[in-house]
Amino acid sequence: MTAEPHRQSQQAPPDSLPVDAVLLLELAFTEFELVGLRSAVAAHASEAGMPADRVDTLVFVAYELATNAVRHGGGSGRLQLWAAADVVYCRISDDGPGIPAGVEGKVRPEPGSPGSRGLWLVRTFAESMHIAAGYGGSAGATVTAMIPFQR
Amino acid sequence: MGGTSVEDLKPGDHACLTFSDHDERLDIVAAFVRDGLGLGQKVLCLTESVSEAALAEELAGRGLGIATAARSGQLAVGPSGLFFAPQGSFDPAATIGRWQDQIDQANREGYSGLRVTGDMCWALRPVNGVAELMAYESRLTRMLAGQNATAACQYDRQCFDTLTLATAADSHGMNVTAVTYHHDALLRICRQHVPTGVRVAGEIDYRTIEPLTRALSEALALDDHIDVNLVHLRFMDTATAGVIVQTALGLTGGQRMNVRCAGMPWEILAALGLGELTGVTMTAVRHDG
Repeated sequence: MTAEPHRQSQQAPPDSLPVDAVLLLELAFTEFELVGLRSAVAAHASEAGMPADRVDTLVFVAYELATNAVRHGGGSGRLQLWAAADVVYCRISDDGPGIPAGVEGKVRPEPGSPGSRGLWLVRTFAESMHIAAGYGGSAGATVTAMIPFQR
Repeated sequence: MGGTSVEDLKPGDHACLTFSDHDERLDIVAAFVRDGLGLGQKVLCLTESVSEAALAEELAGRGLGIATAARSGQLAVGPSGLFFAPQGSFDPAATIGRWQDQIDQANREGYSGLRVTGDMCWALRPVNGVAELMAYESRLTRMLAGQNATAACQYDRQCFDTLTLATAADSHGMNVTAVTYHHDALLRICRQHVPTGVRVAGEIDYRTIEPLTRALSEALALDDHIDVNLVHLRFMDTATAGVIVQTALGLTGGQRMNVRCAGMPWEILAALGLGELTGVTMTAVRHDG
């Protein structure tokens, strides 16, 4: 009763990934690592057997989420990439103020509206996208996107 | 290395034309040919790395009406090896003589002048006499000055060594390069001459919003109908996709924008609704591999 059910439900427990998910890549990044992050994600996903056009989609998703962490999530973050049966999970976490309600990218932005296109595009291209609070529950954001090998 | 834009070439100019890739070369050559035909000059294209048929096809593909000019003799496309090194050896004096013959012939035929662009990659072969090439280029600069002729010698930056390129730049009167808004190992943003527009190749992200915005607005200042060539763009982020959408939203009156792209850039721009905006056409391009 005294717990915070709302915050509880927003958490992404590690067990939301399939049990057989294999960690492909884990790296911390700041703005300076954003370009290198693209090639690292591409190399590991290709190595895991993801088709080239889906690797491009994954790279876009990973980069947009990482850029969000750099620009709005305190300037740095951590990327984790897992492979399971014909899917790749990409998780970006940061220690920033969290993603405020209303900018989670659930509605297509008007062509002229500035900002908030990134998360909407990530939702559009990923099979699923889950936003949770950071580790410890109080600060930060953890976003997990799933990209299947076949669209 | 400040360069002149191909559109600023005048009679008497002898230019060293350098380029970074195939598309950039063909774009500058197309502008050179277009301007010459438009001015009523006789135009001679000497080619080697691109076959004569492929060059004619590329020029036509860029919207130049070359069929009539080719039929009338105003435009000729020929092999550069034959002009510069017939029988496999290069003779500077004989080549200068051939230049004078071409200039005299164009004058006799009633053209307003002569324009020649030559692919210099024949000089990468072990051709007899090629050591005289730079001395010849200096001589040609002096010979053309004051004549009713314009020459643009194509030196591929990927093939010629730095020293040769520097010497070539010195021995020509001027250096023609693409109008470049950004260039680094990942990304190149250039003006496209034919059709008027912008060419973006490589990987683009929010760090180059400023040069991309400038390139697009300068293209729109030059022409009401611009071509945004993203065919060789491998990566685009949301921020730069937003710049293209904003530019499209700012189109006024008769302004139009054709955006050519492939892969994720196409998907991102289509998802943002670019193709639905007034004045915008999106063309999906297949990559050959």
